[in-house]
Amino acid sequence: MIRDFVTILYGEEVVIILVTAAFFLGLSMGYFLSLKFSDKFFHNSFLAIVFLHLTFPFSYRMLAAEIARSHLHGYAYVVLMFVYALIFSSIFAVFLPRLVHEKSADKESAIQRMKVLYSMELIGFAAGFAIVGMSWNKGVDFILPIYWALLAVIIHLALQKKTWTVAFVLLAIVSSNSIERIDRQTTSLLYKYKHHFDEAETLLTINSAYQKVEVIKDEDGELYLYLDGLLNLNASDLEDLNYYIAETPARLIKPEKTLIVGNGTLSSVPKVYPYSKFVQSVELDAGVLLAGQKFFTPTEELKGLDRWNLIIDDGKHFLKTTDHMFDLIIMDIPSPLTIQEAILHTKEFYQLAKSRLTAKGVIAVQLSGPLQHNNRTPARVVAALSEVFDEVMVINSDKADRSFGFASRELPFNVADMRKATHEYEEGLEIINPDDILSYLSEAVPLALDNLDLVLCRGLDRFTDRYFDVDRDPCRKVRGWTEEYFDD
Amino acid sequence: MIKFPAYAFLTGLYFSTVQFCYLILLQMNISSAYLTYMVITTSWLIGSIAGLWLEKLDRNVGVGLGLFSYYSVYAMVSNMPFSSFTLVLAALGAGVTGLWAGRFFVFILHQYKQVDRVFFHENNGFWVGIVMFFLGFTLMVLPFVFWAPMILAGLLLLKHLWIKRAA
Repeated sequence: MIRDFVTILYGEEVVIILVTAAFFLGLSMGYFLSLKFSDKFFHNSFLAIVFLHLTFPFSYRMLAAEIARSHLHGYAYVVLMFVYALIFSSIFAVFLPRLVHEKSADKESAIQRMKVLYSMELIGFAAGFAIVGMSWNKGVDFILPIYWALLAVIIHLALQKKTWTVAFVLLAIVSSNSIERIDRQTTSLLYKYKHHFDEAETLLTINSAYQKVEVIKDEDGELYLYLDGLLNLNASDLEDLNYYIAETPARLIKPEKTLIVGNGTLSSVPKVYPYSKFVQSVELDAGVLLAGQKFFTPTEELKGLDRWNLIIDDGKHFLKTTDHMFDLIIMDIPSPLTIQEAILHTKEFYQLAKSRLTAKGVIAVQLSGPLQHNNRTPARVVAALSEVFDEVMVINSDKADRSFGFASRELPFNVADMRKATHEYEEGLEIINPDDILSYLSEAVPLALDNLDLVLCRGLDRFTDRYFDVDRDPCRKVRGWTEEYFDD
Repeated sequence: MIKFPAYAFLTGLYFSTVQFCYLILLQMNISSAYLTYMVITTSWLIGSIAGLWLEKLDRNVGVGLGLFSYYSVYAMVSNMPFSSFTLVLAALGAGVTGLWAGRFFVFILHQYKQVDRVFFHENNGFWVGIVMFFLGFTLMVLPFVFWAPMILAGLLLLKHLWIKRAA
């Protein structure tokens, strides 16, 4: 459910923290109220809430779609999240204090009971953790029936009334027949109204170990890949992205060994393969790979690529442990909106990548936007690259709607080579010479392991802008106030 | 008078901070794979369950042992990043730190009878800790991972002194 709300609100780290904190707040409410009500009130509210659980995750998706359709203020989403967080988690926090409190004649027996019951709860948590682990890369139709079955057991244990247990089980059985259909319909609804699609068809919706992975088809048949509600790519963008980040440098370098970090759709593999003697792909998320192979890069396209290898691993772990040296490293990863993604854009990471690059090896990075004279994401990533590498060239593509950076100890191509390689694909492509890069970075603070404020600032900026129409860049505002204060 | 609610809150704050610090430390120095998260959470849970039943675990030893384990893991992964055996030792460290997360509830129920309030305040500390970790880590990064557990554990040990005096 936390993952679902993160998806509804779009998964920047700021949102992940807000949603997680809301669910813990729900637990606090449950603890606070646990001994305040009579048994009868507790039983009735427990029953109402567990029956409401049968509407999860569909009811809140429909409500979120309705909020979007009615153009309600962004606060409505936050209220919706808090209400559901309270409904979902508070009731389960009531049990432990009530059970410890009941039937405990003195302090010693209360402590003894607490030890037993809390141990059982923690063991239950571990078992639940294992079940969630089994549900990775599957739809909610796998985990919901298990969840409902567990709820039925809890109803039976808590109330000891067969009627309610049987009623719940029957309703759950009836509902479980249409989970997949309703899951896709409500997901489509959300994309139609909240993401402003004219028509949206859900082709895939699964939870991977790291994020919610969804593939949506619009009215023109175009495919979109969403990760935790954030657009990762669409099929036409993918062409431009692959052209600039993968095919172009590969054509220019003709690498012995190429490493592709990320690119879960595997769509850049066939683009790089003809120019490279060996291609190594490293992707962390098996869920994105599944979506990629099903909808973006059919398995046939990858068949027979015997000089290509795929490893499911963390990029930095792979770089640290591999013995290979690469002529080209392609960093096809999402924008630094979460801590983990930001770490892969830091100068420390680029230092690590540099240690696995040959003398004239190149790292290619997509910059998530156009490079400008400011302190926004593209400039900060280029600043990090510039601290580590001697030469950084940037191309600014209108077609791809973003810039791309190429960094090396000594770039094996120059502006003229780049122009020649790309002029047929995009006329008027802006190419920034390595000598001119520094002029763009006067305001930019390099992303580094001692400076990841971008995750907070960019996340807050997007979140407040999206839901509260607050002036852009709250961090800049705070910095302004601080400077003003100290100047005074 | 001893402010047990504040103590429970501070303990929750310490637990979430040290747990997230473990996680980020290992994600930066070993791997961001799900296995890291799973190992740390499971070890912490096992430690908590064991802690509930460890009658002889003193409060100062509980916090001190947790802190010692954390900084041992910190030193190990910082000096030998991405070594294959470090995850096993880190799991052991998280388990040892988790001991007090179980024993704490037994200890505090001896002092403060209201079980609902204990969980309430501890959980409040925990979710505030999640927010604090995010703010602290994004703004300070490595200094936060180094200093925050030490400062919070220091405050807890100070609280223990006051508890002892009042008792």
